[in-house]
Formats: sequence, C-alpha cells, structure tokens
Amino acid sequence: MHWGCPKCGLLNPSEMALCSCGTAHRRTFEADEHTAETGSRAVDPTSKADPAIPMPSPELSLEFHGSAREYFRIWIVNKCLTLLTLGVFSAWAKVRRKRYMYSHTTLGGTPLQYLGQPIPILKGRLIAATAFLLYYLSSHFFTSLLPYVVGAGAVAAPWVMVRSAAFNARYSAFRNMTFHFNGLYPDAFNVLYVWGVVPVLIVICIVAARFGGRSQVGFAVGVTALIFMVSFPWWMKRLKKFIVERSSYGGRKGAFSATGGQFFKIYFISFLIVLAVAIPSGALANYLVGPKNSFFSFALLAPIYLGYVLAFAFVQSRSGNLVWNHTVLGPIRFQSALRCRDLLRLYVTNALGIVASLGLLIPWAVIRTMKYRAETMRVMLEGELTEFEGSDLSMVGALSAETVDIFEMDFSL
Amino acid sequence: MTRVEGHYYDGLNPVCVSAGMDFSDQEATLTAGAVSERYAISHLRISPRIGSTGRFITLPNGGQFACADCVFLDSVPQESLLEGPVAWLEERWYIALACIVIVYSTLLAGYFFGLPAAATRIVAHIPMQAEQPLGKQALSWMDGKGWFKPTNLDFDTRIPIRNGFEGLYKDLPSKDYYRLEFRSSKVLGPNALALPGGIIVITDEMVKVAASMEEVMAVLAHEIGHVELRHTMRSVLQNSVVGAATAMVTSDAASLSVAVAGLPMLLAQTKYSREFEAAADDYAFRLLRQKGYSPAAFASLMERLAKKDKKQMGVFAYISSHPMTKERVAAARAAAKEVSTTPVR
Repeated sequence: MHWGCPKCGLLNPSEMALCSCGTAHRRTFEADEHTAETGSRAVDPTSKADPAIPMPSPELSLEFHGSAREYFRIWIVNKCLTLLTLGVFSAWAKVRRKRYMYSHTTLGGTPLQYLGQPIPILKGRLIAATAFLLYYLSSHFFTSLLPYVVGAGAVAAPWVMVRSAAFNARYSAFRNMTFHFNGLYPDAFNVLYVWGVVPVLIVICIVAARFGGRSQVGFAVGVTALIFMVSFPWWMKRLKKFIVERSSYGGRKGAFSATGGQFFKIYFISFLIVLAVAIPSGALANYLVGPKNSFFSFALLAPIYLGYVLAFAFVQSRSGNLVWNHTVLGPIRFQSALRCRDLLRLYVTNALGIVASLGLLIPWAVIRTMKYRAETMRVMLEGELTEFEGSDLSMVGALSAETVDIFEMDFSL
Repeated sequence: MTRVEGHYYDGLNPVCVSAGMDFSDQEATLTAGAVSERYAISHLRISPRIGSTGRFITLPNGGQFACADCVFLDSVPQESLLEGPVAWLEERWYIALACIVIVYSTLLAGYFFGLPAAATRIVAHIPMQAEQPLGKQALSWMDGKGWFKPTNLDFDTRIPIRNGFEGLYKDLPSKDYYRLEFRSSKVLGPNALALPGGIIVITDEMVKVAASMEEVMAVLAHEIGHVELRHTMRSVLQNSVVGAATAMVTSDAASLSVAVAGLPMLLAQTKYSREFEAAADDYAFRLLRQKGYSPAAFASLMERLAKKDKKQMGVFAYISSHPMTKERVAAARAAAKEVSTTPVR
C-alpha cells in the first residue's frame, strides 16, 4: 500500500514515514508527536496494523524556481547566437527557453517537461516569415494582390491555430505522459468564424464599400462593428472552451464551465474603465490646454494610454481567473487568484525596468512574471492521480520512435 | 559506480516513485521500489542541461527517470550534441558579458552604418518603375480621402513653377520620372511631399506662403532630393528591418508590455526619417546653387513657416513633419555662403 504525499503528490510506500519532499505522513506525524510525548516509544503499532488508506492529496503544490540571474545568461547567450546566425538559431533558443521555464515549474514536486524539437519550430518560423513577407509585399507594393493574400491567411488561420495547439500539447509532458490536443480544422473554423458568419459580414461590408453610397457603408460597418463588439465575449468563451475541451491528459479531457455572460461582465467593466479615464481626462485637457494647442493630443493620449493599461491589467487578471477557475481536468481543478493591482504594478515596473536598463532586464521581468503566475495558482486534486492513464503513445519515449509528420510545426512565438 | 537519486515514472500513471540509478562503465541499473532493471548506457536518452533544471532520462522500456542536475550526467552520451556547448556558454558570466557587448555593438553598428549602407545599395538595384504604381496609388488614396482638393491656383502662377521645376530636374538621373501635382489642402496646410516614383505634390497653401519663386524652388529641390536619394524605398526597407530586429530582440518581453516593443521601434524609425530630411536638405542646397538659386531662400521660407506654425497651422503642417527647423535654417545659411559649385550627381 502507498500513501500520497499531500504536498507533492508523491506516492510513497507505507513503510516510509517521510516523503522525499520532507512532508511527514499524517498518520506517522501523529505517531511522532505521540513518541515525543512518551519519550522512547516507537511508532504506535496499532496505526501500523491499520491498513494505510491512500490519502487523497487535496493540493498539488505549484512552484516556479527560475532565477533571474541564471535566466539572464541563458537569454543573452541565445540572443547573441540568434543574432549571429541571422535568426536561424532562434528555434533552438526557443526550445531552450521553454525547457528552462517548464523544468523550473514543478507540480507536486515534479518538473514539467518541454519536448519540442528545434527543426519543426524552424520550419514553422520559415513558413510564418514567408507568409509575413507575402503580406508585407502585397500591402506595400502589389496592393491588387492584398485581398487574395488576406483571404488565404483567413483560410489558413484555423489550421495554424489547431497545429500550434496540437504541437504545444503534444510536446508538453508531466511525469512521463504527454498532453494531447485533438481539435480539427472544421471545428476551429467554426469557433473562429462563428459558423462562417464573420466572413459573410465582412464581405457584406466590402461589397457595401465598393458599390454603396456613403451612408450604406457607414451603416454596414457600424452594424458589423457593433455586432462584433457585443458578441466578442461569447466568441472568446467559445475559443477558450474549444482549447480546453479538446485538450486531454492521460485519457481525461478538459471541461470548461465559464459562461459568455461572465466574459461579458469583464469586458464591459474594462470598457467602463477606459471611459471613466478618457472622459474626465479629455475634459481636463480641453479645459487646461484647449483643443487648438498642438499639445492637446498628447495631453489627451497619455491618460487614455494609462486607462488602456489599467483596463488591460483588469481583463488579464479577471479573464485569467475566470478561465482557470472554470477548467477541470479529470480530478484536477485550478484556483487562480490574479489581482488587477498586482498585474498593473508588475506591468508598470517591468516596463520601467526594461526601458531604464535598455532591455537588459527583460529576463528579470519574465522570471518575476512567471513567479507571480505560479504563486497565484493552486492546483487542487479531488481524487487520485491514478485516474489519469497513459498509453504507449503518450510516453515521452514514444515521440522519437514515430515518423515525424511533415505538417508538425509550431507557429507560436 | 556512480549512484544518482531521483524518481521513476512508468508513463502509465502520473505517479511518482522514488528511485535510484547506478551507472557503471557500460550499464545503468534502475531500482525503483521492487523494480530493478539493467540497460546499456547507449540506449538511454538524456535530456540536455539547461541552467540548474532537472534532467530527464528516457529509458528503453518507455519509463522515465528524472533527477536533479548533476555533473556526472554530462559524461554520459547526450541526446543533443549541439546543446552541450551552448549550455557551457550559458553557465559563464564572462561569456554573458561578452554576449552583451556583441549584441549591443552589432545592433548599434547595424543600425547606424550597416543598415543604411545596405539599404542604399539594394535600392540602387530596384528600378524606378517599380515605385511608380505606389505613388499613383498613394495620390489617388489621398485624393479619395479628401486630403487633397483640386488646385485653385491660376494658370499664370502654375506655369512658371512648372518651368522652374523642369529646370531643376532636367539633368538628374531620374529625370524621366518626375511629375508635379498641384493640390489645395486644408488638412496638410502649406506642404510639399514626394511620393514614390517621382510624383511631387505641392499645396496651394505652400505656394501662397512662399514670398518668391526662389522659395518655391527651394521646397521643390528638397522634394527632388527625396526622390533622387530614393528615400521612400529606403525607409520601407530600413523600417521593416528595424521592426523585425526589435521583434526578435524583445520577443520575450512583448507579452509583458506593448510599450516595450513599440517605443524603441518608434524612436529608431524617427531618427532615420530625420536623417532623410537632412540628406534631402543637403542635396537641395547643392542643386539650388548649381541652378543659380540661393539656399538662403530655403532658410527664409522655413523661418516664415515656423512663425506661422505657432499661429496654429493644423496638426499636419509642413513644419511638424520637418522638425529641427533651427538647425536646418543654419545649415541653409551656411550653404548659401559657400561659393563652391560642386555639381550635383
């Protein structure tokens, strides 16, 4: 019989009183206290006879151990090599960066593992760079081709999303078992473009712009923009739901229970924040500087930018909490407690530090952001980790054996 | 025999079992609970070292042994051959310092010298014809947007300007591509712009501000400078390389704060555009002298524009897109004093 360590989730043989992370088995712990009281007595024999019931660990501790000093060296060396190889090394740099971040994140005492290989990442980057070059050339030089390039990009977008999610899931592992993402193109298309309604609305706007009068264009664009703005929270919810529910680990799929209304509340409040900052500051700028002064636009833009940063921190903290707190993966539940004011302080100090150090503090900013993220996240275990069952395919070792899919590539940064 | 302590994961359940691995010359023995297995070391796959992160050893049976980083593991054959030397570099502070020097000096040298020189060379190989559709598109876009209205200048005002303009460009390398457009513009105020492909637009407001034909010629010579030096193409090239480089360097920070990536890029690009203005000025002064005009006209016009600008000329006034008036006026006056006749290429 084994007992699960409440701190790290490690399954220890019942004869071991201490887990390797230093936590004592509760039963043994009580016995130890008893021993301390009575002096020389050994472990209570009755408790030993009692069959050790596997203790459901209430929480898997999530910790980030990265250090800014160490990461700085890794960061600068990889940047230097990337620069000297004109960007080719960036794929290797990304792999090393992700491995560093994953391996310094421990869940239940075990580090996460990133398994992505540089070549598929390099391939993804080359394709992304080609696509960007095509877009750049057509938007600057061959404008007649632009609609086709944008159209092709729109057709490819769901595919890119699915491939990247699949790549990142497949090459992320915990305890020798990889994650999976099995979303398909039609589903992603459906989620991104809402059964194709989005492209239809955009086409209507373009047609109106080409053949209609000024009022028709204004009407079409106005109605479309309003529809997009109001329905954006629901779109976001569908997107998150798609990603969570198509992801799986050890045969258990994720479940997502947040509602569009909850997302709407967050975005609506952030909209009010921007208004609450913009309107008084606009009035103040009008009063102090006057709209004719060339300083007016600056006096107006600076507070609006601050309002935007505030709203951004609000959305990041609240939607981050919403998504994680409504995500369940088998017996695992998450508790995220991001706070708007903490994120705001983090963003502002990061930006100031980076600018003042001419970029040298970027690694520091990255590490402290990761630390904050890990500190505010709790992983609760409501059951047994043995509910996750791996297969021969989900083992880390299986990845090298199979032939590499030519479309296996990563497009994310 | 070297023993490494760690944990064993069978890959069938995410359950952690305390384990140890004993390495001899050729073989490694895993002991995890009741399990004890022996493997040839060459069949193990050992994950690369990155800083102080733990290491993962993939076993032939599909299981995995994870342990803290230890020096011994580097003496065993590695999964990735390239990454060993990289890890070696990453561990040393003096290498990190050298990398700081290399990265910053490469970026600065590229920015100040390499990129402008490379862009000038590349642009010389792009035919002027390639730019022409761009200029036409830009002009019709601005016309369509209502930035420009048809000119209100009468024929008698336009003819001498047109003739003077022809006189300015008739010996220049791009002489076949020039086109002068008159427009009236409330939005842009007194202004002149060089569009790609040799189209030069001058606003009625600018013609009215100018006190003499010489001043109009000074403005046009400046715009001719932009065309001859291919500034549109150069700015497209240079700004996109700056954008790509900023994105590469700040990629980790981009998600942290938008301002971090946006601000340096904006500053970097502003500097280039100021350089272009200075270069076009310089070109214009030489051209004016060669054609018998005085660069002093440029100075007097700039001063008048600067004065007008203070009386609210609108956001897009010529002066706001052409900063550093004082320095430029001084340069023009200095150029006017020089009695050299260096021919314009």
